[in-house]
Amino acid sequence: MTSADPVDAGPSDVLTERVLAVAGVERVFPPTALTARLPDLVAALATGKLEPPSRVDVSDTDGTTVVNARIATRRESDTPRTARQVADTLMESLDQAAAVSIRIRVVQIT
Amino acid sequence: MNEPEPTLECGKTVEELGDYLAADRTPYDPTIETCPVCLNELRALARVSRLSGDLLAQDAATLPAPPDTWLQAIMHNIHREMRAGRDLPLRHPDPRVRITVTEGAVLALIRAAADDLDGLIVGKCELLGDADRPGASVDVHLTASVRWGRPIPELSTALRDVVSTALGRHTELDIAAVDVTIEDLHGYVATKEVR
Amino acid sequence: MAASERENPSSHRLRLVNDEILVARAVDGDTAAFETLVQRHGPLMRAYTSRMVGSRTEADDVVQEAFIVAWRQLPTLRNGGSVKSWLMRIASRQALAHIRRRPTDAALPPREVPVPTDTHPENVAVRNAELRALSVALDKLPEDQRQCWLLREIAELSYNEMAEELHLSPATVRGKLARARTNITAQMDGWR
Repeated sequence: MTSADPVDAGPSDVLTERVLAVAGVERVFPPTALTARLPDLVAALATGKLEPPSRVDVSDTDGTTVVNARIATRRESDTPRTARQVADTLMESLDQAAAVSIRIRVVQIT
Repeated sequence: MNEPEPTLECGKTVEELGDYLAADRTPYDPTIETCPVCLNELRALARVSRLSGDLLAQDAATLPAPPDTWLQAIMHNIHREMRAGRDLPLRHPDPRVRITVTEGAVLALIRAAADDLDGLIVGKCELLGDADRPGASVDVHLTASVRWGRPIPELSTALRDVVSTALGRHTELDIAAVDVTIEDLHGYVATKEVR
Repeated sequence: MAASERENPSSHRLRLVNDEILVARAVDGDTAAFETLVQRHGPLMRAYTSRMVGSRTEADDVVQEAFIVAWRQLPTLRNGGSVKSWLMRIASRQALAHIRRRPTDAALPPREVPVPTDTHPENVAVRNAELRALSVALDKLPEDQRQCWLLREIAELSYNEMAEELHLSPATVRGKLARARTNITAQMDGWR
């Protein structure tokens, strides 16, 4: 669970699993809030179309690996400490030689 | 307008009477109030107006409930448009890391903490100050409704305590003050002793 | 029940508080408070919109849109205590927009509006008959007059507000409303 083998930028599923394993993390949200139009959303719901996958977003911008995580923490946890552990977990999982930028946004404390 | 205005046999128009009724029959118009035709029409207008309200109330009461998906679709859309508010910073020693907690998450936390108190429901909740700047001093303003018969000073103090505790635990805001305004009482039960 | 209360311990308590508190919470992002507003005011909005667009299924879509618009615009509402009339105005606007979107050459959907039925014994039978008569009278009105009537009597819009929503002059609106009143009172003559 706490293994920290470096991973490539691609497998955000691995990073997502590691984030979810951090004590105090309740869930991971899809990368960005959708700004889709209302009729599309209603239609999507009616047809049972799925949400975008909830996971840590990993991308490469000018040689920098950019990691975005939107998370919910638990009320019985300590949000700053939990979020810092998430950051540390992500950092340990990434290739230390590469340029890295990590962005964590706590969007819910539940 | 190409259609003629509806006019009564006494010469008044239905428009005039409608306006007069809408103005609660003020200022008093003796030409209307002493005319039997007008009075009759006023009575008829007032009656259908009242009946319309009754009709819609009855429609609303007897309308079949919408399918569950109706409310779900509303709530689903609303959840996607959560009010995130400002990004409140959390420290991390590594400059490559940026951590924030959304103002919306913090306000929801405050409501949840306050809702654990029996007899009080929080309304408006504001973080006043540059909450998105690290180390800035922030005042919390809350309004609340207290259940009838519950002690207001004790509940206000308890509210300040739970809010301070929750914010101390989950944010790194420098809280200068938590101000509580009790704006309303709810759950009054007439003629009954409420404890 | 225990499970849902654990999920949202405040939802049943929210039903006790006034609209101001619910609006304040919803503006702050509390979706449970908004849901309580939907449950509180949704039935009248659905009934009103059904009469307006003449179809319950279409009305449900319209009211759904109205609530989503309301969620977005809620921060602009100054007085939470007036949320009911504010919601009715949004429902009016959405309903009229819905009607305008209908292709002009297409046949109108058959009107399916509720006709009150006698569900109670004789003491309310007369009143129910009155309501039925009004229901029929409303349904017989030309569409523009019915819209005016509903906007005025149910949504309680002013002449100027009605004019704005209907894209007409206030004088035209007054004329249409007067004709609606005349037609309805004439239809209801037997009940005077």
